[in-house]
Amino acid sequence: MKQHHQKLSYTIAKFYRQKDQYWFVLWLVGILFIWIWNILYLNKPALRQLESGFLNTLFISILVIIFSIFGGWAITLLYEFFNQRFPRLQIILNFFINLIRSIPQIVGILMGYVILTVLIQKGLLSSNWILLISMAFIIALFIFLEVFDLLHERITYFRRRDFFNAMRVCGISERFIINREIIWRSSRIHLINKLIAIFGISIFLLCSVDFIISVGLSTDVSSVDLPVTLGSLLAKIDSKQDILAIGHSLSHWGYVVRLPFEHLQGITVAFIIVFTLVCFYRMGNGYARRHHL
Amino acid sequence: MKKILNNHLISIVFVGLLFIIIHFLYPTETSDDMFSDLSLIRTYTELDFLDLNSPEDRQLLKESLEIYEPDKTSFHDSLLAEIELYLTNQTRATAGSRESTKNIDGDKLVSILIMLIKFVAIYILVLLITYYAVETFALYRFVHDRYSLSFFKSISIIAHKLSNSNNFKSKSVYSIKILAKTGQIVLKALMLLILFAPAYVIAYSFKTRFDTESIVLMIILGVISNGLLITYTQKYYTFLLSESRKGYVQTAVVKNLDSGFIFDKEGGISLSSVFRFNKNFPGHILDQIYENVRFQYLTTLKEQASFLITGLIIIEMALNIQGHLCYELMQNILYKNLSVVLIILFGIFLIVKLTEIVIDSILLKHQNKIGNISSEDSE
Repeated sequence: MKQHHQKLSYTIAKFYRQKDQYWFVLWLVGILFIWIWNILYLNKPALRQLESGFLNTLFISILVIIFSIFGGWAITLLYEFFNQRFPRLQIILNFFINLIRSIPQIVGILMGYVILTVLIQKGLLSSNWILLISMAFIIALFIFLEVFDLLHERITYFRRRDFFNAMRVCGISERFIINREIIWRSSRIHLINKLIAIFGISIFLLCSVDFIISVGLSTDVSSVDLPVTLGSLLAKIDSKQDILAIGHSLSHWGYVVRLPFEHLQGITVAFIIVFTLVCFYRMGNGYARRHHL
Repeated sequence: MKKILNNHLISIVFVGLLFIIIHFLYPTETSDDMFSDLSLIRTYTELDFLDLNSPEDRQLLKESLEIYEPDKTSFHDSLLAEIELYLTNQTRATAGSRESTKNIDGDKLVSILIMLIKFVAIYILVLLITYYAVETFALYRFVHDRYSLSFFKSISIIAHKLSNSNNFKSKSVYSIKILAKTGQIVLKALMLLILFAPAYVIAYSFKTRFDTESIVLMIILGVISNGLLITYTQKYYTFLLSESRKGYVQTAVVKNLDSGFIFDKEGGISLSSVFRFNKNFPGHILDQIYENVRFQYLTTLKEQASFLITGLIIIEMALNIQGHLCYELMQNILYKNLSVVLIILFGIFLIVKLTEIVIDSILLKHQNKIGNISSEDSE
């Protein structure tokens, strides 16, 4: 019995030490628990909206990751290619990269959304899927440079190592060394760590921009036309009142008990956003520690 | 420095020219051009049974339109916004005041400039506070983590002591200790949730208790929300950790420099020096680690500043703080006032660029200093 108890506590301790896995499981369990709670206590139409808002947010964030990988990778290769063949073009590319970097992400995304709405109003965009992809593309446009920065830093680091020139002398093409040896074999862990961070940033930016346009630009950049996300759900008057109830409960302690029953929609949306941000931040830290980054 | 400055100036000129071209490509419209379908707006505003100055009647019109054209919600929203603007212009014209046209005059420029200065002041203040907080918390954690046990370890030690204790008194003491530790971790989790919460979630939670339009609240939100503080504290902490593993630290320890990482003990670090504005740890190895990390962090400071601007924009826009730069930006996007939008965007771009120039010049100054030291050493 004691041996069994020791084995169990050892397994728990080991799992707790693998912080990335621990926080991922915690996130899954947390989301599952909230979902079951909402099935029990939230009305059906609100629950359907919440589900689609969560899934859309998740889908867009995953797409942002995919776009960021391909965008970052492609620009890195282009940068390296220009560096070798056309140094002047590399200066121009660098200029535009720095230009995008100097645009505050939220401003860039907001302007992208304005263009998106113009396209919707002109009837050029109507399908829900295309809208989701476009939203992800706009966000990725202002995030993918993080992947570029990482890959560029890794390539610069490895270029100084002996193995790079040794491989070149052996007749291996530079493209092969960069893609296979540096990026795929030596930077995959760094890349995954960066993608975990990008997932968190994209959730934060997506929810913020959707909240802003739903609150402030609801007449023009209409939240009705754009797919529902956690940000736009939070901006709804019902959700806002639910969040306001938290402040009310600070002076009326007895009211706290009523929050998870009577103000479920807004509190659930706010909690999912914050809980996801915390879990993915801790996951990224845990992953970095596990791989000694 | 000249090269760096030139690069930044070229970007500023490029963006400025781009905005001027956009301004000329989409010229300022006359007050009638502001509306997509003026005849339709006039038709609705001239109806006898509807007073569209009243929000109830506007809502009634919207709902009626929704029934007849359910798939044109966005168009109805835009139409109602335009009706509202049209009626405001009509009222102002009757009262003899100017219409809300899209022309930019001196007054408007001055008001934008004042808002920009206000934004810059808040931004600089929040940047300084967050920089101080990031440094302080990272240093505190760096020292504290060296001698404190993790939650799991401390809980298992107390639990082990609890299971081995025989008398009631020690059992209750250990139980209280476990409860206190658990309470501590719950409190920490709550703090973590607040620090990661987007500003609008925190602001709406406390809207009934505080004036959410005050500048003080905006500064507080800028510092504590959006995960800014915790993310960059972690980055600073990582820099400290990797710097402490370098070879020179071991050499310094061998050469008898103080290396105890414990607060207010002999050979350790005084807690007050961690919280000081001008931090230094004379005679302690942390002094050199801190100096080096401060230099390394400068490149990350650019990133922090950019994220801070994003955070402040979110706060102003999401909370609809009237009379502030980003609220004005949002209003002008809403009324398709392109020239004002471009001016505000250019202003924000200038703030980012100026920050980059300042940080780059500090970075260069440090690099030159290190270069001089190393060249003096080699001589």
